[in-house]
Amino acid sequence: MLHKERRERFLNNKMAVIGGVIILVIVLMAVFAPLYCQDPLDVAPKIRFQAPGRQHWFGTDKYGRDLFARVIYGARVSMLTGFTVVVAAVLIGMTLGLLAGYYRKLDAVIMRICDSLKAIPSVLLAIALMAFLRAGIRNVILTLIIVNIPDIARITRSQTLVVKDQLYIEAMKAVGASPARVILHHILPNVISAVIVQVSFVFASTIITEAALSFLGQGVPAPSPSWGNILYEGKEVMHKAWWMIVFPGGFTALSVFGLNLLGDGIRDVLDPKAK
Amino acid sequence: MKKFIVKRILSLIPILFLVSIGIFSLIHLTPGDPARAILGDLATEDEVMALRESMGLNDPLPVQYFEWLKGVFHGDLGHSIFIDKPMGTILWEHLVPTLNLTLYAMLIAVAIAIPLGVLAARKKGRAADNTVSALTLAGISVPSFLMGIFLILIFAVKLKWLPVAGYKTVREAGFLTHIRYLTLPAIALGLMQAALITRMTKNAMLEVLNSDYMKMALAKGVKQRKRIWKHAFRNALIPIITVIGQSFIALLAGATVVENVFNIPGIGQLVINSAGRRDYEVIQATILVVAVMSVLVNLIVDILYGLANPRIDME
Repeated sequence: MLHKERRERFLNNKMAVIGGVIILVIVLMAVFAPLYCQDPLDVAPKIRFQAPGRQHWFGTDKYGRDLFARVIYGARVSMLTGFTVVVAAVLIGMTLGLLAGYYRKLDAVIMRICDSLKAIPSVLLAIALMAFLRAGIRNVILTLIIVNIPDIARITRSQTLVVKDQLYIEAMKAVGASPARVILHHILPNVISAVIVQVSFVFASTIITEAALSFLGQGVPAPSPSWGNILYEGKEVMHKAWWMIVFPGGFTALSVFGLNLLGDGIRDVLDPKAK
Repeated sequence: MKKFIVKRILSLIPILFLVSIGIFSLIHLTPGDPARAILGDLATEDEVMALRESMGLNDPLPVQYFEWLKGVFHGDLGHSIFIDKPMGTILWEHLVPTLNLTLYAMLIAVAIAIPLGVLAARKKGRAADNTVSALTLAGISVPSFLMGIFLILIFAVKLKWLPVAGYKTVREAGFLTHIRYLTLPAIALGLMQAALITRMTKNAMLEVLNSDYMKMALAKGVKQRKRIWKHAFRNALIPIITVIGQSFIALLAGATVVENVFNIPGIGQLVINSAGRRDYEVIQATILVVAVMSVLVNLIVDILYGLANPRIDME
């Protein structure tokens, strides 16, 4: 019943549906890229810097590579990074948050570690970590997971603290339910919606940070295409090849926009009071 | 209140301790030998050993950490292998452009956000409110480095109104030129925070506008202008100041990325260049300074928040 009601509330929210559709389309385009795109690494020096046209919808870059293919393959990087980071950061962050909220002794340790991670602004922390690790998508994902854990842990913890003091939890403990049972069956279901509200926004900020890292040469290294490193190449030649920044930039902004719409919609459905 | 401030300051100790351990450990994240990574493949084994010795890498980890920390407390943040200046000088020279950019961006953000937020709250549900909502949504969807590139394309490359990139100090080119060079980067950086502050201002204003004393003021016949700015806005200021404080840190961090778009010699460019030439100690020192700054700004925001609103529970 409740689920149906929520689904309707979500579908009635036009903006959220638009956001969801934008993201779905980008994900599908990325997943099926090999079926309809040219090879994003295929070099053709004769057709360098060709303006968008029928043969190359988004034009070509300085090696004559097809920009449409590169942007779509870039979407694969962004979506894969976003998805992996969200899943891992939510799993780890929620576990830490539940433990911190439930066990007072762990609370201080876990939250101080989270606070100290938050002390360094996330973009800068990501840049620093990447400077010492080595450029590459695996390290980008690892870095962005670390950067996103503290916020999710903090939200889970504060929700856990609220739920933990309620009478039915006391009752569960009194009848001898194990801590694992109390946490997984009774606390988790009550804190999870607060975390789900964040998922879309974490996804969006991950896409932004990955693009920024790759733009700075600290993320996905060339020749693999990512929106950030295409933008870096584009910035050098924007006076004669506007398409090199308009298309990858447009896709970056569009996906962040879609995720923000979706996130606002999910928040309205799951947490109507917060706004 | 005094108790709260003391407690809040004491709570910084464990955080700064952990931050320092984290930053110290960064060097040990490098795959393989950091000394070898710095010197490159052509260096001989002896040269690598000599550098390891001088970096203290041969000591046990706790010894290395306390040596490093001792240095930090004595104002010794390490040495650059590339720039022949004391670390403090290097950091200060690069911090100035970053801070100028941050403050300028903050000014732009606040100047846009406060009027728009107040307007949206007053006209809630009407066309003006919806327009502001759409603008803020667009604002938070374009990352600042991307906004910077778009602004360069439009206002520097096509229209030629402002310089494409670069930085001129006040001393070498005068204040106006200094501002001309910083304008596009500051707009690029400020817009996203403007969107966030607008949202916050609108919500804070709405809360106050719906309160009983605002109805009372209306009933008493207080003029609209006075009602909005003197009665409502003043009371909405507390959450607004908090979000402005938080956005200072966000702007500072964002500035490090935007600097690289506009070729501004700030700490962001310092970190990226240092990463390129494996000048690890510069990166560690920069991150440490930024972390301390961000912790202090948060402390100040918290204390101001407490001073402005004595009802807030200080526990």
